[in-house]
Amino acid sequence: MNSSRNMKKFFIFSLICASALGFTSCSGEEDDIFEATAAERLNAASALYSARLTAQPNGWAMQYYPTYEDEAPNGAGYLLLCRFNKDYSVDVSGYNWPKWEENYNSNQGSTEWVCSYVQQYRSDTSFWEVITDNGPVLSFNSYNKVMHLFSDPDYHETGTGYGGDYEFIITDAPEDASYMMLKGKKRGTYNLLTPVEVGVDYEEYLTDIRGFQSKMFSENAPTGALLVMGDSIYNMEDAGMGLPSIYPVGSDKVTNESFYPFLITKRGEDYYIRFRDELTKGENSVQEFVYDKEQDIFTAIGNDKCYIRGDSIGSFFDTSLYTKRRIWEWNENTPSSDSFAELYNQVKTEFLSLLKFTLTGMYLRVNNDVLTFRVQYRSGKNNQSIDYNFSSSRIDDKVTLTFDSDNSKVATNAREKTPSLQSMIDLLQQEWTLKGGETQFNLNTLRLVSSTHSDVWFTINLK
Amino acid sequence: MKKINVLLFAFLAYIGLNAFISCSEDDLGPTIFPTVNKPLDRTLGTFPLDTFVKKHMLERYNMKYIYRMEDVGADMQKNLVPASYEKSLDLAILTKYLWLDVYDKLAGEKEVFLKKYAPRIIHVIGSPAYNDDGSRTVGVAEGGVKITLMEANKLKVDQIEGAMGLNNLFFHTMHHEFAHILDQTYQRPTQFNLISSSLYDPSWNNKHDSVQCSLGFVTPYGSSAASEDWVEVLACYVTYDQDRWDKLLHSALTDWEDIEYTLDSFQVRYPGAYSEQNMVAAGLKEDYTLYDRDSVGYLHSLDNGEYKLARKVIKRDADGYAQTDTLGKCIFDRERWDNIDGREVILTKLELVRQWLSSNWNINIDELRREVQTRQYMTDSEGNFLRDEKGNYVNRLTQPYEGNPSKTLFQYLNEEIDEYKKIYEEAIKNKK
Repeated sequence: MNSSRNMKKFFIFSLICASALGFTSCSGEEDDIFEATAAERLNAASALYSARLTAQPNGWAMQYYPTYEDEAPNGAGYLLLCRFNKDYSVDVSGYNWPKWEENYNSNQGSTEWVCSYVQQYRSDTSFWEVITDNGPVLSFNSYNKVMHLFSDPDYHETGTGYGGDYEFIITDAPEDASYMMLKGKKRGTYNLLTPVEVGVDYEEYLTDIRGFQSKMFSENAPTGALLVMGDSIYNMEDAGMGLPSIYPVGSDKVTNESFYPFLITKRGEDYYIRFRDELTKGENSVQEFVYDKEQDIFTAIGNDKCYIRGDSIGSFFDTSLYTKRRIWEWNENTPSSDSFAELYNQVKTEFLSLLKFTLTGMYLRVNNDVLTFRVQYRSGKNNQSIDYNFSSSRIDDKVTLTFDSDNSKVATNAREKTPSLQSMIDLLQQEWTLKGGETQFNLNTLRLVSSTHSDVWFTINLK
Repeated sequence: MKKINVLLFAFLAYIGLNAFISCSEDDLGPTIFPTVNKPLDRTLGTFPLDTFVKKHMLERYNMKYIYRMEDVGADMQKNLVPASYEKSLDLAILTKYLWLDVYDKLAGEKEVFLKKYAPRIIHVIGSPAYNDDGSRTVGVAEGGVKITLMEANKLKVDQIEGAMGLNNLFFHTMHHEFAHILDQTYQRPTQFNLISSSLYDPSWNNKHDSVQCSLGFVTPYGSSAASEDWVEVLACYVTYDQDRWDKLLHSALTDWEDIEYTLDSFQVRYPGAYSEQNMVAAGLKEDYTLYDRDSVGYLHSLDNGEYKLARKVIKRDADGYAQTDTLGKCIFDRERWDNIDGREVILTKLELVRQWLSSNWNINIDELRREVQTRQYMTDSEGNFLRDEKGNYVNRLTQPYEGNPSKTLFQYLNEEIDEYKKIYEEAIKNKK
């Protein structure tokens, strides 16, 4: 009985609660937070960013970095030109292609993987769209031989490829379409888009940039640029592949180096270097530099205390010989003063008539820590050489060469039998002033001018 | 008092009911998904392909053909790239011609069959998906809803057979994955599961075709599980031409044995065979007369780092070298063979597939196979397959089309796309 009464109470209490709900529900009808549905807003975002991408009639220069790795090819940057068309096709062009292949090293008797670059203009058309799966995302959604080279798992390391993205979150896209910042969806690298001016031909543009980069940061030379960050100076080496090693001048390279990939672009008549990541040294933080042709330096934008300049010629000459163990070469075809050319030809003539040797070239090199003047010749089918030991001293850009001794009996005989060779050795023994070429960034070719007779000079090439 | 209670109850019940049925004013509006009838934008560069797949897949079979890469729709852990537009187009045309049209023609319910059972999504990806063990995934089926086809960028219309041929990369996969979907509707007979039940092993990747074949599997992958075995029998029978199928059955006749071996001893014995995985192939290249698959076998590494040599059970001398007959051929050592007749097992499995397709789906597998292969290879007036000077079947797709010999069959199949291209070009012209 009690149970029945309790049930009745519970039932009535439940109904009262339900009726209370009846009065309170719907009382808080709120205005919609958004004016459109989620799908409509996503479509609008897609349309907005698509319009900004197509707003540049001649497309964009994309500074593309596949990954954050320190080593080429995955960590290097690649300049890609992208023209986004309103029919959602996109033309992508590039010039610099990584080539990663197995090479046999005959010295070690083993194979090793070597990265090189193919300099060739390539272009392909595919399709794009702005999707909205992770904020606005630019997707190169059909295969493009240029763009997808960097993400195709069949290239480079099987299964991974070069590791690059082809879907990018649009992190910044101002209304005036002056630039765009894209972030790789998987790798997270930031890739800047800047407009390509109307009328610029893609192939000419990329060829010009490549030519400028080769001139300023030669792949074949031990590039010795210096990065000045306020009071601190850093070596900026091996920049030819756009992935320089940067470390403080005077410090140990191996323990102090960091890698800062960069790309070169051209806007108007100016060339720009932009590093993938901001360079921060002390109080100075910079990322982009513009080339000043008059001063032959790259000046940081917004901070003239920071700049990149070429190495000093004298220092470069010494480093190339004594540290990098590179060889300087000259022969009958390298430019020289008339008197120097005449003497070279005399040596050549006497070698042939007196020794039956064909002179092929002369070199300055360091062998067993000794500066050597090498004379190379051909005897029959064999290439042979004789060496003369020299020493050098340098003050700034003036270097003095001194003959010390013959390196062998053959060298002595050759010197004694060919008077012109003795004259050449005598001529080399003096103070020479070192002069560079068009830019101090490229010291592959140097001119040695006699400090006492300025009309006597010869040119040497870095081998 | 009782009456008041009843009134109170009625009032409260009314209010309570209101609490549950009010709040129905929100207008949910139209569906957020694009509808089938939405017209395509003629000024899009992809209009020709979009129109083709809308007409022949979406509208006809409620099937979506996704060729624009959707990372979220693929395995995010893998590095994959999209298919090119051109290859996506080729694959769409071939999918219709070599797969959809075939079932449409032969299945009992005609187009309703595909509308009911075909996957809802075909997802096309340009590259392979590499697995951690170095193998490649060429296709994936997800819950009977979606089939993902890989390596579309390697599609070549003039290459039907071979590892990179149309069948191996795409159509074997399509028949394989579709068979899974059908299997999920009418399950395969239990009898099938029992035939090779003791031999299924998920680690199929390290096994060799011929060895698995002798055990009654059409492919090593088929030996991974009964469900895979089932669909592999169907896919292989439909896509293998008669030469290849006969070769498979012939190969299944022999028997293999596993011998413990060390890598060093193998290389000492067969010095030309230098690579672990390719020892036999290397031997063949180095000296055909010295090493061959029959007498040497396959050396394969085991998980514990040791090696085993899988070799044919043939008569051998005391040192293990093959003894040969007067023609220089190996002599089968039938007395030592196991009890499995691989050929018989495969044919038994095929018969079960044949009956299942016929009774459940009203599909004659031999007609299906004939239809697929007749669309791929040239036949004479009597229906016999033609061969080229090397004895190979002749690819029909690249031969002149009977209805218009100035075009190949594939060019003819592209005519519809050409029409859509004209519409696109006209629309672009008008827009300007």
